[in-house]
Amino acid sequence: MLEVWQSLDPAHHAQGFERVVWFFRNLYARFQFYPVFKWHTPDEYLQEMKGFIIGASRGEDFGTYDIMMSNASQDLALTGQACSAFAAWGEATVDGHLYLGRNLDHSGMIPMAEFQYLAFYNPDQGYPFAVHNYPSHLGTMSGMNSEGIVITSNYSIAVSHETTIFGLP
Amino acid sequence: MLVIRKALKYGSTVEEVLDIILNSPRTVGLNLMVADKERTVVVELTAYRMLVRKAENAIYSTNQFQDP
Repeated sequence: MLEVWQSLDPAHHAQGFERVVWFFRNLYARFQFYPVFKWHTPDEYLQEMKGFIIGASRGEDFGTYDIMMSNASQDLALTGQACSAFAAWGEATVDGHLYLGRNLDHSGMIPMAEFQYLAFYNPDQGYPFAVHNYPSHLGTMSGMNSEGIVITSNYSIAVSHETTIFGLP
Repeated sequence: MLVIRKALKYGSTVEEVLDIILNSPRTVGLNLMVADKERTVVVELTAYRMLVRKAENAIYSTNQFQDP
């Protein structure tokens, strides 16, 4: 059980004009971004978000807005430009085995890094898999499944016309 | 990112993972490193395009696309 007592939302710490700016930003996010991300998110993930919120709030909250926006932080470029990964195998390693590594240095994740964890999933359909994750995140940036598949991600700079919010967060 | 979780859940080879990523609605620029028991590739992708980068013995990815 994880309980967070201090808000990480900058809007809660803003004063004066900053507070007005954050009010309109949140309004825009709630009525522009949230419906789009929700529409593109499969029902199984929406159900898991609801379960997460109900559990974390002890049954007092059912809304998925906050958790959806947390999962969309990378899609909204809130995590910063960071991370790298490498892999070597064959003649590049002493024993020929594959070695794969990645670092996580997203500046936007620093407040959450203290709470990072490994999650193991045993789904009814598909393969069991393990992911490295942060509280409230259903998606992941690093994971491995029982078939030996490993996936890591790095945010990459792309021109604006190659990006959109009309996708899976 | 939910697309990575979806790929881990349903993919058993690099080809299957690439197929899942290609057929998922995407948002921003990403470099994904994908490995199975036989090969490792880097997938450079945006919301509308995807390119697979291969190497013989070693490969890396950072925060920009290597292939123009």
